[in-house]
Amino acid sequence: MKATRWLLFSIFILYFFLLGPFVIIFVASFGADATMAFPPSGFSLEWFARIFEQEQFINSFWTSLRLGLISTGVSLIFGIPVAYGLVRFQFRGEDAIETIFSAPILVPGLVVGFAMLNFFVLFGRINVFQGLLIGHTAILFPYSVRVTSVSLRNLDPNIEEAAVSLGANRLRAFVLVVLPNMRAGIAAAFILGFITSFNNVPVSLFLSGPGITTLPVSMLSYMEYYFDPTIAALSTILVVFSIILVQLAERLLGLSRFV
Amino acid sequence: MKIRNLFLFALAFALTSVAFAQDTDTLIVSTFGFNLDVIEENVTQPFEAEFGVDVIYDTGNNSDRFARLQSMGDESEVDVVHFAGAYTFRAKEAGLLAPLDPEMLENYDDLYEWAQDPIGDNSGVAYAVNSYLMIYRSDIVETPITSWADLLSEESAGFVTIPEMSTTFGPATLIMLDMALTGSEEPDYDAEAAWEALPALADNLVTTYIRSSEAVTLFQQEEAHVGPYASFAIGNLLGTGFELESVVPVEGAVGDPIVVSMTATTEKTELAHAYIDWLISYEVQMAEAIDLIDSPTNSVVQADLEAAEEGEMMEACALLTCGSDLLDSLIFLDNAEIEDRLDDWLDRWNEIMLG
Amino acid sequence: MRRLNQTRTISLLISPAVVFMVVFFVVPLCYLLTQSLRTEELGFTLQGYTDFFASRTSRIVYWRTLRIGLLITLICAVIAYPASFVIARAPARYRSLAMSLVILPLMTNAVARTYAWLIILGRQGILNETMQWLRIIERPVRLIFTEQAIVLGLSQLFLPLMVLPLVSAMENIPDDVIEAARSLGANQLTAFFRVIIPLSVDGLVLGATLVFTGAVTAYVTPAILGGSRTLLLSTLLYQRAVTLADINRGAVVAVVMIFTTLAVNLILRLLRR
Repeated sequence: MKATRWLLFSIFILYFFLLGPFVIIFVASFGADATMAFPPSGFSLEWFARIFEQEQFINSFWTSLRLGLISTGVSLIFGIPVAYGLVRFQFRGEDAIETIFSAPILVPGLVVGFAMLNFFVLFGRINVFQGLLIGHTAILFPYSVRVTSVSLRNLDPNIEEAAVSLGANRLRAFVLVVLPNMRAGIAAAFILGFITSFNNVPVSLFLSGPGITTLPVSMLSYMEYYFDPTIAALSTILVVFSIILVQLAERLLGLSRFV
Repeated sequence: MKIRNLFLFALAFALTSVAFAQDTDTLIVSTFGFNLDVIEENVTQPFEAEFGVDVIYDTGNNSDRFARLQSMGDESEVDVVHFAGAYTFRAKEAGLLAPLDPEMLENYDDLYEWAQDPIGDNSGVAYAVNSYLMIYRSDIVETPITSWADLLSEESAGFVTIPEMSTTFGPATLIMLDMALTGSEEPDYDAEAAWEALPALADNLVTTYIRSSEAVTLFQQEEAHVGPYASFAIGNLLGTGFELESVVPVEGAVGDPIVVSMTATTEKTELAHAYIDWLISYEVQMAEAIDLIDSPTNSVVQADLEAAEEGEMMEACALLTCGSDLLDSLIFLDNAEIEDRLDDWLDRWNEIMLG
Repeated sequence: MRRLNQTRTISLLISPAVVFMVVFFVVPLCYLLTQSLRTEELGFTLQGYTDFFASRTSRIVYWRTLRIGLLITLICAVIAYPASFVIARAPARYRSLAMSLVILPLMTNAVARTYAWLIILGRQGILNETMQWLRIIERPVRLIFTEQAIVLGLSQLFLPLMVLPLVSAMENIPDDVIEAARSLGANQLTAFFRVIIPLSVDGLVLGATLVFTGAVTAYVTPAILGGSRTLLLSTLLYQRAVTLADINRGAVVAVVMIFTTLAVNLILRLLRR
């Protein structure tokens, strides 16, 4: 069948285009040349060693990790009740609320970062990490609200009603019955949120400050001066990291349903 | 319950890291993100040990850090800044810097005279000097490059790159080209001859660059064969592995002081002076020179480097902005003259370059 | 009584997050809007906007951004459409693997993903060599710091955003619909155009919205692959706001960017209904 062959070809193109660059990064990171030569002339691990000599990468890695975990956590603490309110109740202004929480997807990250920086300056002493935390928390709301809503919608309200009729108050019913049933959605939102924060450049670019930079921003500024394959080596590590995370998430939760 | 463990770990991690606070005295230094690992070893760690303080870096290129300093205003926490000459001038004009007290700098007298107060009003001392000269592919370009006017050479048409007007050395390119075209010994800040030649130069370009990394990428990818460059990028340029020859054009090279200053908002005047004094001390300047990080402005260090007849000191002197011949040929441009014209120049530049 | 109680519950649930978003998101954006409307010398003024649209540089940048966004959306749609069909029809086992391979790039930061293109696009790079081998070009051409480089880099970056909604739209098309079409005499291609496309157009529009929005607002890839001569709105914003430290003109670009993405999103949303 001609059409079948054509469809298979399209699959090949898709994956070639999507994954080809990763193969190149991978090969380049083991190259012996100090430049971006491809294919490299020999094998070397020195670029991996160099990552750990660069204090900026180590520091910014910890900053990104901390920032990702805390901002995702905070946005979930704020976001889960919103998801619950939106799914379980009907009220006036529901559309407006939903719009506010999906707005960070529509507003360009660079604009968010710029606006927040100008705004924080107005108020003065918000320290750099707090600034980053606020910025990241805000841009994670779409995930924490929408993704958790999905799992709430799939949950039969009658289960909760049953708990209430058995004498639990609303809060207890929520904590004991609803939350455990939402855990796949919460975990998916956590992973998505964490990854979004960990990879974010535009917002962090404006909100970084003395001594506190995120990993992607420090990679970007490293590239301003150096062309050696250290960035490739670091990218390889990050890609392996994401592969593990994606596999884990897909196995545990079927992540692709939530993206 | 895997998922719960994940959350518990995350929560514990988050809590411990929030509780983590600083108690030692800190000095916040805004500097270039270049060679930080070596600088850490040569400058920062010994300084921290000597004074019992923590040095925190705010890194980025000149313009990013300048903008940050300006937009933070009184809320800026930065104590000390490193800027190229033009940005020190801008920062001084914007009232972002506090004057230094030379009395508090023990090594002040060892500095060359041009390094003691390069921007005026004691707004900072030059702890390093950068030179702006030309580099070309000697295996491809047959007629050796000798003058700034060689940017217009037909042989290299399509393979020339120069920095954008908005960068540190943008205006310098034009002023030096003007000197080459008019044969004048002194820089003419109107540079009319160069402006007239700019459309021709534009036709010769592969593209312009803003960041030195873009220039290196262009040489790396063999898109560029000829171009001016700032000496701090020499390591990266030679790292491309091609036969590159660096030249001081007959009209001279442009010198740019790399200045360290104290911010107007700092409350740590003494510590800031101590740090600045540290940067210009013999030991630090020598260590930085030998590691090819910065070209020294301490005249004693320069004299020792020039006198060295072998070993790493001699090698360092060969690669850095070093030696009385080169230092004497440097032309230091007047930042005030340039700044006056810059807005017009940017418009005029864009008109030609976009055309 | 019950009603009152419910209102209180809802506001208890929702207000902390709403307050957070209003204070830290809505207000800063409104403040940005006011910054775009005032300068120190002139006070309240529309000067920033008239300057923006009068300047040739920013007009070129604006159209370039839209053009590139459209082109990238097209490229992504052409590649993703047939491929998503295959993925959606594949047995569950393969589908899961196929989806994680699509998601993988989304999980890696843009700096890492863009770095690869610096290697690919060089004068001696893989793409130049291939094109010479295929006789498309005679001698190496400059690809780095061009519009084409940005288009390639961003298409790769945002392709997954086109595949995901398309796959989920196509998964929902029942097998018997296609069978029915075929049994009525349509060949595979006709079935594809007559049946599958109309039934998956929502996914396509959603994908196009995501890709286009992503493409016109991305910063990292145009900053690395476009260099300083091939500016897009995002890199122009950064240049105005940071390199030139001009808050008013930066704010103007930012607001123009917001309204552009909002307008496109609105138009595409109408299409979906």
